[in-house]
Amino acid sequence: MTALLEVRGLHKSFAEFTAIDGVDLALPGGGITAVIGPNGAGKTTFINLLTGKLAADAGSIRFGGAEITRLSASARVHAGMARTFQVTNVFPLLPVEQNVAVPVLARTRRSLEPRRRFDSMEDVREEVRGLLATVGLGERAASTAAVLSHGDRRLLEIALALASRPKLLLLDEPTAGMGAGERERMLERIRALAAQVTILLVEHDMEVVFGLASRIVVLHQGKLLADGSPQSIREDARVREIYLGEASVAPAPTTAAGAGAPLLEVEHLDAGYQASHVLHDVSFGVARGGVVALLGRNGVGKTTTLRSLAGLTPPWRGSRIRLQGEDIAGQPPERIAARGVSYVPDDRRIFPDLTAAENLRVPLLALKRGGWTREKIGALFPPLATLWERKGQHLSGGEQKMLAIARALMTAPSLLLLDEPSEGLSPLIVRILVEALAQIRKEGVTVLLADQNLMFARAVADRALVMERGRIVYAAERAQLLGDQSTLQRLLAV
Amino acid sequence: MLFQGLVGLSEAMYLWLVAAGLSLIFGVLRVLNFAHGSLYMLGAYFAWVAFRITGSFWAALLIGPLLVAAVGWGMEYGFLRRVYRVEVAFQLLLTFAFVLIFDDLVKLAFGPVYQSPPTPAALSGAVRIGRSILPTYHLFILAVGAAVGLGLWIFLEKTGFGLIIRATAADREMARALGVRSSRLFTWVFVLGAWLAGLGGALSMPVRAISPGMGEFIIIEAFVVVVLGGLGSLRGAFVGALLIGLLHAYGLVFMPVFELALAYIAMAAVLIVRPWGLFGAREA
Repeated sequence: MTALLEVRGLHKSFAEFTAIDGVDLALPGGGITAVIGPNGAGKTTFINLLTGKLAADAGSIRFGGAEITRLSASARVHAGMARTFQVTNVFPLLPVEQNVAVPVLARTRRSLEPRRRFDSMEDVREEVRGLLATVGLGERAASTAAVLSHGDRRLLEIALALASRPKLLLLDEPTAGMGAGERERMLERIRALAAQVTILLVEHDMEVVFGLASRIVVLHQGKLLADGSPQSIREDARVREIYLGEASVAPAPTTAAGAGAPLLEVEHLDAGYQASHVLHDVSFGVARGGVVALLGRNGVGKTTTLRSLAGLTPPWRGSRIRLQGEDIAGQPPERIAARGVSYVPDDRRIFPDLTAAENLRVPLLALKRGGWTREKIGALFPPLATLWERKGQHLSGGEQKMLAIARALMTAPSLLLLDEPSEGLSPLIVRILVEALAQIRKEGVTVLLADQNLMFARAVADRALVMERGRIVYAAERAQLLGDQSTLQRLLAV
Repeated sequence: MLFQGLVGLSEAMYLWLVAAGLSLIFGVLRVLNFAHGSLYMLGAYFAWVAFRITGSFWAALLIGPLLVAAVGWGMEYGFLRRVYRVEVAFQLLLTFAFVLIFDDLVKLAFGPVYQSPPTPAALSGAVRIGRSILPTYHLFILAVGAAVGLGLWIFLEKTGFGLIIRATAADREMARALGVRSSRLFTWVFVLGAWLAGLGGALSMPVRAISPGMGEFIIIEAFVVVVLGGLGSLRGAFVGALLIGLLHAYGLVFMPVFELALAYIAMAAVLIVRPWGLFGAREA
């Protein structure tokens, strides 16, 4: 029997960045297959290539024996491939049952019958009822989609996807932002669904992955790194290495953090996006002059924590964030920046049309206070010293990363927030970064960084906090960070 | 031929001033200001009143746009800044409400009649170009439009405030995280945009009849220009305005029946080939 889905030599590049670099994958029908990999591994691109949202540069995709590489996204849905999205996508103002009726009508080509009332289409209603029962939303049929809880909305999305009667269902982070109870219910439903449709899912939560999948595919830097049973993936040394980091970074000597009053105190921090509750009661402190690493796999809330501290994602009511004793929770980002907190996002966010020098001038002009000098920045990041007049968009990823950190230093911060500083960097740049962080620290700047890479954290941090599902679950002092293998591996590796 | 081109280009300058303000405001605030044509109209009326009081065209040209800038300040500070976080549809409704309010206020104050004030003596002559005669005022308008273009370019590219505007237009959230006080910046950008529209209106006073409907007429064209050139791109607004001005001028000569449709056909053609406009940023 031919495979349901057969991918051969798939390639996709964006400008000079290769997102998917020759992936082969064959899925026989049935079962649940999970695609995992660290940030930037190419998971989302891979799914988008499968569904036709993106066109492949090279390679072929066969589905149910037919070539679909050049088919449009909607043609692939007709062929029997359906997906849900990372962010919920329902018609908020329609009742739940009418939400599901839309794709049913579309499939049966009856969307354009304005004179026939929905109520009179008994066959459609019958099918809608069946679909809602499948996902466990039978009792919410008459509610407006907007009033559904986050978990119910994700279930509704699955019902929408099922309405096209797919042979293959692609789920993009089905449990993201869910509480424990909601997640359990979602897992049960997905397991039940596997009896009638083949499922391919992308998910960060390892408990979900290992609780569901019969097969796991690991992507890394656009390549298929490993493919096998959950057991074999768990024991794979290469997989462990990409999740924990390269062992080649030599730890820089760090001095103990200065005692005295903490610079930052976070208490009962809760935050999220609309219905999705990401951070749950996060509390921690950062000592003045310290380097603290926030560790955890993707999607555990590291970025949201940093964004909340910077004022970009407003913390929910009741959260307290004190900087040098003063509450800054809920203040606008520009005021928090003026108070000395500077945020470097993981995707760098360099102003593309501004030169490197102009990028550095923005905070100087905005805050009207002296930051670091260009000479000091050049000494910190030697590769930048010859690039001042180059436009941001023409810098490489590593150069942008250094420039983003340099730009943050121009605000003369007392607290530097670094999101995924080591992600996607070459070993050379990582080494520069490790030295730069030691220097930054000598200048009296406190650093809170979020990273997935344990080795990088070991090289720079004197304290680590491990997050899981929006909570801090483990705190390690430097000795434990270097010595405690088993706990950190359990929390960070697959 | 050349004559028609010069007429078209000078007509394009009003459009450029309005479109520049519209595009600048959209680029930084992400608000499409329907009332921008009304600010142009207010510029003409304010300048006319200032002319009646002072008797000086030059004083009117100074005072009119400044009063419009003050109105712009009131619009942004009192109203618009309350709706940045709500849906775009409500922002459009709010600016559309300003269109209706300004129109009615102007009708109340001046009546619905056409007002036509005089051309200043110094600019009322004409220049002979080949076999045609071009009013000096047209050349003056061309010079002012070009000067404003150059001034805006210097302001945005060479000053610190311009740098902050460019950074904020590119990535508002990141700019704020670096300390840019966006609410103050938005107010000043809106004031500048309003001043540009007011200047266009004041300049149009001697050669175009002033009427309460003049704002609606120019805002539609300005939207065409801005979409054609690329939303938020000043260079696009400049080229777009020139293009539309020339199309109108030559359209009147060669196919007068289609003249009004030409601008829209040009816009449609550009959008089919480049949906993000001539100079706009392509959406990822």
